[in-house]
Amino acid sequence: MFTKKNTASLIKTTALSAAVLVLTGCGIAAPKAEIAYAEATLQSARNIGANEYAPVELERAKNKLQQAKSEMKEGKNEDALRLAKESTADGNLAQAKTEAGKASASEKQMQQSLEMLKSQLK
Amino acid sequence: MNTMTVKKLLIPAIITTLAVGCAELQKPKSLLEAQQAYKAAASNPAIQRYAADELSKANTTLLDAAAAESVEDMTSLAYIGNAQVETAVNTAAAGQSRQNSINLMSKKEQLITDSLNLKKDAAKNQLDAAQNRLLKMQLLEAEREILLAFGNIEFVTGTADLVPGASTGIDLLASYMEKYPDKKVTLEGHTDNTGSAERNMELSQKRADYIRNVLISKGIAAGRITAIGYGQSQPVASNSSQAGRQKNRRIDIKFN
Repeated sequence: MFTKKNTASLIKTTALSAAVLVLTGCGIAAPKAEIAYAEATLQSARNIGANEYAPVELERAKNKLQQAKSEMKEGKNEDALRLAKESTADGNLAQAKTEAGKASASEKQMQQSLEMLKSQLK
Repeated sequence: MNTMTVKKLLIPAIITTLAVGCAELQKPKSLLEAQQAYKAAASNPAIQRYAADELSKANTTLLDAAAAESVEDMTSLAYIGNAQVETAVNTAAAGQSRQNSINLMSKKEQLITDSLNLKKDAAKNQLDAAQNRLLKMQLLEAEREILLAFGNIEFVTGTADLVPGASTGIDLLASYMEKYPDKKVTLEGHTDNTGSAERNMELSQKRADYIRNVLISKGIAAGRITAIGYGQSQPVASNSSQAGRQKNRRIDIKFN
């Protein structure tokens, strides 16, 4: 049943499938390193006190990480990769926001102590 | 045969559509917003100063987003770029706050230093004032002693010679003038009304001059001592009694 025409048709169909695969990127490896990195970023944010200063961003990073993990389990590696990177970005933002909150709090404290000193010296 | 023709036409069409579709991806609203946020952040000097690295990361991500070949990638990169812009904003805020804290700290230290200096100055002024009062008292005490000693000074009647042993006042005056080199004195000679007024004038001048010369011989600069004879013109007591006349024969000292 394999005529020349049929063989040619098969080759073309395979090539098309390959092209679609490459374009949609379904063929990438499981983004284990990216997920590990997102996890570490999230943990760092928790360690410096993001629970207090950036709870919304921390929650987002956590949810994205969980989603990334479950997408990877289902073999949706590309979605998993995107989510891991988004989680890392949120984790970094949570860290920055925490640092800003802390620095601002200590600036306020310094300002207060200066005012106190001023009134004591009057 | 018919199906083959359709396929031959279809395959290139699909590939072309995919390729063209990539190039003409509609930018999602989130990317436009992230690009605007980046623009605002990039023109903020504080963010340039304190979060240059974060700003540059956001820029790279947003450029990648604009060039992404799928809507999913573009949307995801826009999300990441936006988070990176916000990270830059927060990093800059932290940097600015830390700098402010450092400035406040040095302001505080300056206040403390100033206050300590003020207290030191006040204490020093008090001490200086106390010392000045003490020095003034010492000076007045020395002058009082000299005046007391000069009250006992005696000349041989009718001459400018001192009665022996009556030079304590002059010694005191000499050491006083050594100790206070800014001080000047005026020696005023006075007599009682025994003898002629003219002769008394002369005698009082001679006696004042005599003391001036003794002081000069002890090394006191001549310019610091003025000697004036007033004769019998300025009595301080009645010349009708022995005691009164004795009071009128005198050397007054003016310190200035």
